[in-house]
Amino acid sequence: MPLKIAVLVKQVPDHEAIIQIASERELSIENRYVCSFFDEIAVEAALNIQKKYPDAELIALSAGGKKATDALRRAIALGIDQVEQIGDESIERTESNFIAYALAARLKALQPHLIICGKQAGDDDMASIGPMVAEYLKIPHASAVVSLDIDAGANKIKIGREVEGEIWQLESSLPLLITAEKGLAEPHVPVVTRVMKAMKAKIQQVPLAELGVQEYEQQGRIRRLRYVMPSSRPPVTMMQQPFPLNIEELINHLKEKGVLS
Amino acid sequence: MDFKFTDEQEFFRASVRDAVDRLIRPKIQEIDEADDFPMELWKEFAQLGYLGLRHPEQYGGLESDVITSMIFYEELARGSCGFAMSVTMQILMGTYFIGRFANEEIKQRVLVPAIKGEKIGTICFTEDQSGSDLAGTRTTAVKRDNGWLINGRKMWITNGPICDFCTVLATVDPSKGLDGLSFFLVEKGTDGFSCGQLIHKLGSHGSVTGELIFDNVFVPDENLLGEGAGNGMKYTTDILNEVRVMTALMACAIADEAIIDARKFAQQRVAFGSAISKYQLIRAKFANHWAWYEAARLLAYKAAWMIQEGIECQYECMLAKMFATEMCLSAVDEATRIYGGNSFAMEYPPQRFFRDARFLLFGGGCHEVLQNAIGAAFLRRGSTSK
Repeated sequence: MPLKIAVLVKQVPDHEAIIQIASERELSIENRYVCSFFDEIAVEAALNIQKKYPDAELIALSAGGKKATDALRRAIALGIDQVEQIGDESIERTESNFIAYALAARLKALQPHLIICGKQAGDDDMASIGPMVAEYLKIPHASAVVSLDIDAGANKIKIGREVEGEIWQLESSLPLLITAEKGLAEPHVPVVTRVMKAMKAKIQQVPLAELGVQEYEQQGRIRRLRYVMPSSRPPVTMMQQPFPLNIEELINHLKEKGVLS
Repeated sequence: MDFKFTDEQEFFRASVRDAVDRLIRPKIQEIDEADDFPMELWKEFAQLGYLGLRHPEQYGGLESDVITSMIFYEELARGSCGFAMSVTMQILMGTYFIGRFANEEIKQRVLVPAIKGEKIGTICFTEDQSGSDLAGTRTTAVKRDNGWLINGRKMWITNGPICDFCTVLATVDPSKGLDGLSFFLVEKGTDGFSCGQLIHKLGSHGSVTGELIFDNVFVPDENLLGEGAGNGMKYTTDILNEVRVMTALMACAIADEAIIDARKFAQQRVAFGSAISKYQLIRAKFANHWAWYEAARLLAYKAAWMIQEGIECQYECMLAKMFATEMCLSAVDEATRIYGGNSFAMEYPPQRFFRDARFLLFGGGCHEVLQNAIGAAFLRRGSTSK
């Protein structure tokens, strides 16, 4: 049975998109979305494994509506041929716990040996979907992975996690879920033929009804109370003297402010 | 009516923007300062496959439609303007006549490597005494046994100093003016073909521009690109329409980049106790730009759509090129005013936008010539201006 790898991807606001608080409960987000940075690393890591095991099957999954379609098109452009859109736009309004539950329901049927997702989404930085999917599937997971070496024949994988500047080497049997950290792979710029293929691709949809998950608790127990703008930065004080005279000026200034005694 | 791009077109745009952001944008300043052809970037970019955008799949191309190609040109120009000039020369003008008229052997020898970026091409319209006035072409092609003898000099040739092949406009009968023009393929290494002076430009650095010299250059009959001698002009309108809309969209991109950059500056620069973006005269600049930018982009994409639909649109393409370029020149000027004295410093971007935008004035016809043609056409129209 060939190695099967599933990659979870998500569309997030572009880092240059303007995000404002529309009301206590609602954000106003400029309509500029991209595939999450860490998810692209996950896709690239899967493609790297396929270079070692050319018959490996890769599949990308994304939960949501049009934004999920765009994330999957990006996965196709990067090199993954098989993609599935889980649910529809309504799932974007549910708690991440439900999204993980729905993804896990589909993954249970697909039975991949390895699941790779970004270590966190580039929007809410929750870093929750990966570990929750692993929990629902009752498989181990390792987060923030920076290296991997898979041995499909032995059904084993060695991975490295960066911890406080050190690399922590781990070994696991498969199946396993890992979340991708910067350094695991370097996403390439897609060639135009893949872009064109992605443009024209028909995205396979898996309705929630097919997964039988509608009855599951959709909102969870975490309540979003309100959005609050960070307090504005205090004004900048420039030291007037040239270097090195400004060192003494800075020390005096910090003493005046009570930062130094 | 529908003014929306399709989801697929938006995805294509985002993909091109991603490629430009990652490959070209980090090198913009380096390219501008070096003022040389960035060969390594060229090779890297060529590998992505965009150089075959308009050519048939059998030669390695993509056969994309006009709108898709225009989206590409617009996004490409958000990076280095000079590099965009070199790339668009290769995709559109430099290979157009070869793709359309050359025999199979020439296509395999020239077009296939050009699509891979292994050979660099260009087109030669302009001479020292003629540019927009193509009837004034003095380069001659005289019939000889089994071929043509070409003599003349071409000026302002983008990619000229580094080209491996070029499509040369020459007259086969000077007495016939526009009706005597034809296009010929000349390849590097042909006796009598050489590069003359290199032109140091104000802006659009990264594309190399210069003079090409044809001194008794003999090319075989199959290098005549087009059906019959003297029919060059009837094909020129087709390519000029695309060139003009492409130029219009490059102008839109440069204008947008300049104004978005100026907006960031205006929101951060404090004068008289407030960010200058709070002041009405600064806001007026953004308001005016927004209106002109929208109008220019609508004109350009409408013209692109007309080309795609096969609707006669020679004047719409001229209008788009002229209006968008003038809009761009205004935008880059306003950006320098928003930046104030800092715009005069080489370390800030407005000076580069200001220099780059000037180059758009001339390609596809200078505005004085376009206005003359558009005005004459308007006077011939019926009782309304529609």
